[in-house]
Amino acid sequence: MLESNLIILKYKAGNYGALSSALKKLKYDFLISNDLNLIEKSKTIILPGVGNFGSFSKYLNESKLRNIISEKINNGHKVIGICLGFQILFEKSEESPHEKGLSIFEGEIKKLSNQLVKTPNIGWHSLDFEINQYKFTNYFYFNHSFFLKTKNMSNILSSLKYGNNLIPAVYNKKNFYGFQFHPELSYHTGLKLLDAIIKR
Amino acid sequence: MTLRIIPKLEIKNKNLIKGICFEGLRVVGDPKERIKKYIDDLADEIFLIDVVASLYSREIDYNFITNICKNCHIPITISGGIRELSIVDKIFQCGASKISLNSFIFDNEKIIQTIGNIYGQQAVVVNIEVRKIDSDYFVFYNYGRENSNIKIEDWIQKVQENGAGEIILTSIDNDGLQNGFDYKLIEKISKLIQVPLIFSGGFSSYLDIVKLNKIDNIDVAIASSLHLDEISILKLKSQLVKENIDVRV
Repeated sequence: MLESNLIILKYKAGNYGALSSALKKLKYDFLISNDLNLIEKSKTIILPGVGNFGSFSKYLNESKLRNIISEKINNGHKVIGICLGFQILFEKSEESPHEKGLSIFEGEIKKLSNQLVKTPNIGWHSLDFEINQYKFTNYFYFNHSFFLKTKNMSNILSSLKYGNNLIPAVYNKKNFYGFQFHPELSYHTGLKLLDAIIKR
Repeated sequence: MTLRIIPKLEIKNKNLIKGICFEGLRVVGDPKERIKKYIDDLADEIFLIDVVASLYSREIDYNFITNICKNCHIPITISGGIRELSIVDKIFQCGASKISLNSFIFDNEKIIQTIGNIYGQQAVVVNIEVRKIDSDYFVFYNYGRENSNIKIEDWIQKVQENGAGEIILTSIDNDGLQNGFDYKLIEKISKLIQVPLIFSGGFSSYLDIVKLNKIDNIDVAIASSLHLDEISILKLKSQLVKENIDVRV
């Protein structure tokens, strides 16, 4: 089996084509895999943003990936979580009240309020943040109905005010990077962001 | 929230086509070339629809879609002939970010939720195409060929009840005419739609978007004006900025 430094976690939903083409454009070698061994050995894992909280949580349990991923994050290995792949790190989500998240970080996932704005939040929002000494002031693409509510704001590098909702958009703790938006769908800026994180 | 400008590409046999009111289809360009241009010009998403897949009961060309999706790096929604979960899966494997349903939802409303449960609600767009008959708007399927006899307001309620995360609404009567949007239609339904709405049919200039924006936060899909090079997305966005309409620049 081919070892890989960079692995996209394979999930049955399978809509991670954009992430694949982003990594190919950036000329990274990578695998799409759910092999426990390969994932344990890889340098960087990307948790893609597909499916829903409950089924992703069940999948991590059934495939025994839950512990391996938790270990990697706690041991400071690089893990990137996109959208749902970011939300799964927390304790629970209103999207699937009966399932638990990985509970690695404090916080819960709540449904966006549509009092002043339309939900899901679909479209481009301008963000301004610095990560790994790279400055990003640009538009990123969001497409979600749920968002993180946490008491600990110090790990949040950028938030988005959307109606009554304050949405954590960029999260960084130890070597975990979480994005509520989709860098792989955010054109050149998104690709630059992925590159900045992966190559570090 | 920025207003999305979305090129709409109607495809027949891998050709980019354009008709008027869904009739008289003629080839107007190469889809791959046009998509590249639109993305370079800051299109916010791409909406691509195979207009004969449902009509001819055939599947979209997967190799063609894979090729299209390869260099996108912005969201691309694929529509046309989606009538089974296996087709949905294949389209996502090709690299699409969202799929859009129309014909198949009739008699199969639960499919919206079923697909949403697997791939996420944000991956499913409901495509609604309407014609005005007397003073009502009726929903059509099979690319404008079949009248469902369901009124637009009832269909909107039904698809939202069934978990639609986003709606793209096309006015068939204004399609391809570049004569402005059907504002009566928009005013009739805009308060009924709780999810993001993309409107399509009749765009002629930035003034149409200014007028639309006064009614509600509605995104826009454009076909003729872009494919026939009447305007570029860059130019359109700069005009909208001057009108204080928030767009991604």
